[in-house]
Amino acid sequence: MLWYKMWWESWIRFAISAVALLWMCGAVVLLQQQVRAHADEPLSYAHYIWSAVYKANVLDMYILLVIVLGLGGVLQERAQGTVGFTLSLPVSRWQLTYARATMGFVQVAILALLPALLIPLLSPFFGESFPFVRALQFSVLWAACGMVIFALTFFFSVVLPGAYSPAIASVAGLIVCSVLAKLPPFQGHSAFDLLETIHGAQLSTVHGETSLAAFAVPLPWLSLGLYTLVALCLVGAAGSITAQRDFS
Amino acid sequence: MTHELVIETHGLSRRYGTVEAVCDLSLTVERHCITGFLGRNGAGKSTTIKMLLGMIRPTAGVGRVLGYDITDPAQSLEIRRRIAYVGEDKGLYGYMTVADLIRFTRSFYPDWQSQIEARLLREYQLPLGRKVKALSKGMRTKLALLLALARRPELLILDEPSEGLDPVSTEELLQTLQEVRAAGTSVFFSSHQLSEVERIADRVLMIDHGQLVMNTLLGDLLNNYRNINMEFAAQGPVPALDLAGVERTRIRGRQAWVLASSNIEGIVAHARSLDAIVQVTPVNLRDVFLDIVREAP
Repeated sequence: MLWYKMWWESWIRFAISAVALLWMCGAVVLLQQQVRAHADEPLSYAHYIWSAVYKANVLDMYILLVIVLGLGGVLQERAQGTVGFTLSLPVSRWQLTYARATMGFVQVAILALLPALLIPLLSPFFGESFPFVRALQFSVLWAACGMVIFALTFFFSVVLPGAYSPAIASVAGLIVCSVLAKLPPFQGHSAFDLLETIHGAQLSTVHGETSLAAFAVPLPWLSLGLYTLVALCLVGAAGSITAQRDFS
Repeated sequence: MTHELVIETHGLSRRYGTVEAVCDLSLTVERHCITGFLGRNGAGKSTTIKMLLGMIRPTAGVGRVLGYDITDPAQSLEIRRRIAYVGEDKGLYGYMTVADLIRFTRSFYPDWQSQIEARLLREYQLPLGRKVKALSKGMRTKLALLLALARRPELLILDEPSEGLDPVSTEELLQTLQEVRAAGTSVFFSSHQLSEVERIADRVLMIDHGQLVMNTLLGDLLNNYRNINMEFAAQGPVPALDLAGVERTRIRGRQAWVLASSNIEGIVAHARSLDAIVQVTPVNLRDVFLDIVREAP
């Protein structure tokens, strides 16, 4: 039943996030003709979708929504006055941590999947096509990178009091990571640049429509594996801090 | 650990920086009793309770609840399986309905008593479909009690249970606690409402500045404790009153007030031998509490 609590605490944020993402993706597909007509140079549909959804506007919103999903937790419950009730339940703090993290990861993955479900489905209505397998590749990128972003906010929610400070710290943390990834020791190792990886720039979608029917270049599985590991470590650290913390 | 004790601490301490919230606290709470845990605001009551529940780790000392070590995470889990806790703010999940919260809480306790749940729902007239955040504080207290009692705990711990309640709700709460004790559950509740403690407690623990200053049966206290007022006729300093049974002494001018727990006749005889006019009066819990926690002038 911990799942029930975790779902209750996050479903409104999740539902709003899902609606916002679907609305944004729908708008991108709906407005494709107007935007492409006013582009400086000819823009293929695949490139347009990548630019608008997977590289910029919708992606930025996805990152912000994932950060919002990461907020909450036992420390935040203290402000709501429910921490006493939660901690008096016969469950360990590790169980509380894992239940919330798992619920968050599932929600992040579902959000990542939404563009892959909507865009291929909607495109034929506007005389275009976008293959599901390609969209699914981007969803995998979003899900893995989203897990790290979620876990970062999750971690800060355990460390920092206040409703908004974990979100601000997460945004700052992502910017710092992005800057660090461009420094000489890390340059050339795309795995270190999460914001670059999540764009999926290496996928051949940007080069036109020749390979749209199949998977493009293989996904950066090593980087994605590393991100998953980092996300799990952040959740583990959050669990350890929660288990040690006093709740006066 | 004897089976007659539900709570036992030895040298329990909790320090926050330079502040000693609880200091070397050694106390015992007996089974099948209502034990009132008295103290001023900030005396260390809530900190003690939170240490017993595993929410705060002690900086020193040991504590056991139902025989389980409060500092061991696995044993703390067992404690929480077998006791019930109602916090001061009755903080429950406001986004759930009453029915949702009951269903949620029930899932953690295999021994949940549906007939108790049904009876209390009827008695308290809790609206099942209403969101918890829309309940009054009195109704939230009743819901918190229902959640606590339907699991039939061995020990019920309450932190300032009547805080914010109107007199009718307070009265119902006190009656419930007496019924709970009669049904075999031990009750340990903190309060600074002396009249409530005096009404229902079997035993009184008093804490001040994080230290236990009294542990006595309420009946013994009311029967045996006395206020002894002395007025000395002779000029000069009031003589020392360091006698058996003297708990507290306050001296102002040629007058002395003594709170005595025993040896009343001996103290009176000693005072009279010093030419003092002596008046002995019975005490109530309020007198004793004020005498004990008030700084000597």
